Amino acid sequence: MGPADDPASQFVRQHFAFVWRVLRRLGLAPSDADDAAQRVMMVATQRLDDIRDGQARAFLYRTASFIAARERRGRRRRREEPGVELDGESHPGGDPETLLVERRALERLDAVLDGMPEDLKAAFVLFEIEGLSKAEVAEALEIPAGTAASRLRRAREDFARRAHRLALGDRAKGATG
Amino acid sequence: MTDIEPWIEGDAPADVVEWLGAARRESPRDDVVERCAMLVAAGGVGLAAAVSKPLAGGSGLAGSSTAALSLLKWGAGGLLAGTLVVSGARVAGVTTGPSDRGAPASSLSVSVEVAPPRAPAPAPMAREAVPPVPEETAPPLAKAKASPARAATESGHPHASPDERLAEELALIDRVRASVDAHQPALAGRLLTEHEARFGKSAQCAPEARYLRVEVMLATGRMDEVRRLAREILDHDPSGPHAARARALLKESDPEGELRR
Repeated sequence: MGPADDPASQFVRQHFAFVWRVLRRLGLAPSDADDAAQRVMMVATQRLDDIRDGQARAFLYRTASFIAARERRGRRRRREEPGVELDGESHPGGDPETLLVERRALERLDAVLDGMPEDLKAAFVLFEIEGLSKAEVAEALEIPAGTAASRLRRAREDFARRAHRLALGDRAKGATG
Repeated sequence: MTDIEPWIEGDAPADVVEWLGAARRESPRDDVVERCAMLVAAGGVGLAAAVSKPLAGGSGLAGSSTAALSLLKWGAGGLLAGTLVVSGARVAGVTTGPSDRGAPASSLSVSVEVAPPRAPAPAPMAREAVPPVPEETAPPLAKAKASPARAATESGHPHASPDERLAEELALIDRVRASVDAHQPALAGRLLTEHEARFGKSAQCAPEARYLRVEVMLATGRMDEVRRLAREILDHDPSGPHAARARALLKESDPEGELRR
């Protein structure tokens, strides 16, 4: 058994993508998410003994949100520019057409998420995108289960309202401004 | 209580379904993941000191550790296949293997400053070695890997890397939170004082600490402090996660102070 198979490395391989995606939806550009995810992992792997089974994602989410907040405070968070790079390697088999569609979808999503209150956004991302259970969401956000359920409903309403507004804004573009 | 199913399986609008799908499909590059896996394997404590600066720092920071870190960022898409051996403070260079993508291996220099090499010791042996082996003869790696969190916390040494300090700080904040949940405001208050002493007012978790202090003040009925801290929260972080509660607390609180928890 070499160094690449130790528990810390396994932990990274198992959870890095989750942390990275969360950081992306918390507003970080892909290369910034690379760095921040690594920092999350450096912190988390030092505390592997404290992470109970089934609680890894909750723990990682909390660490990621601390680190993302710090990144944003430190860097004055950049808005995603329309030409954000989507590395072809992260979408195996991606032809330019598909990449373009994916990129546009992510831009729209991030535009909506951007405006949401933090607590609603967190619940939404964890449940609707990352597929955590309601119980896991509650654990990650350190709220009671009932609060998690109501927060998820409010998050959807908020998201839908903003998405609708975005769509209206698109159609009105160039008309009334 | 009615349960809630993911929206994407229900009546989410078509474009939302598309967006969520794209978000689920987006993923980091394999070499980025693998590099991180190798970095944590090569040893947490000392390496954290070396790589605690962002990899993508394009702003040209001076310093040998940063110069070496730029080597770690593989623009050519090569994979860090060799063992990463580092000194306590500096990475002077890295050993590399050939890229598994078939691109020619980058020709990096291989001069390395080495303090006790950490990478080769396998983890299971390190973890088992600690109890029976006398303190003096236990290899440093065994102790560090067996309880890295405790070692970092007990070290308290001023040269801990930012990531180590963040880990310590998060651990302390977790303890504060646990004591608040356990209705032990006195303990929580002491831990918060410790937090401020060790990490200062501009600590990374200062907003979280401030919010937890509000909870402690609420529990001990110190409404003047509750109001003061709530105002501080709104001053520092008006759009943050605790702002809504801070506003609610200020709105609800009055001289007679009947607050719902």
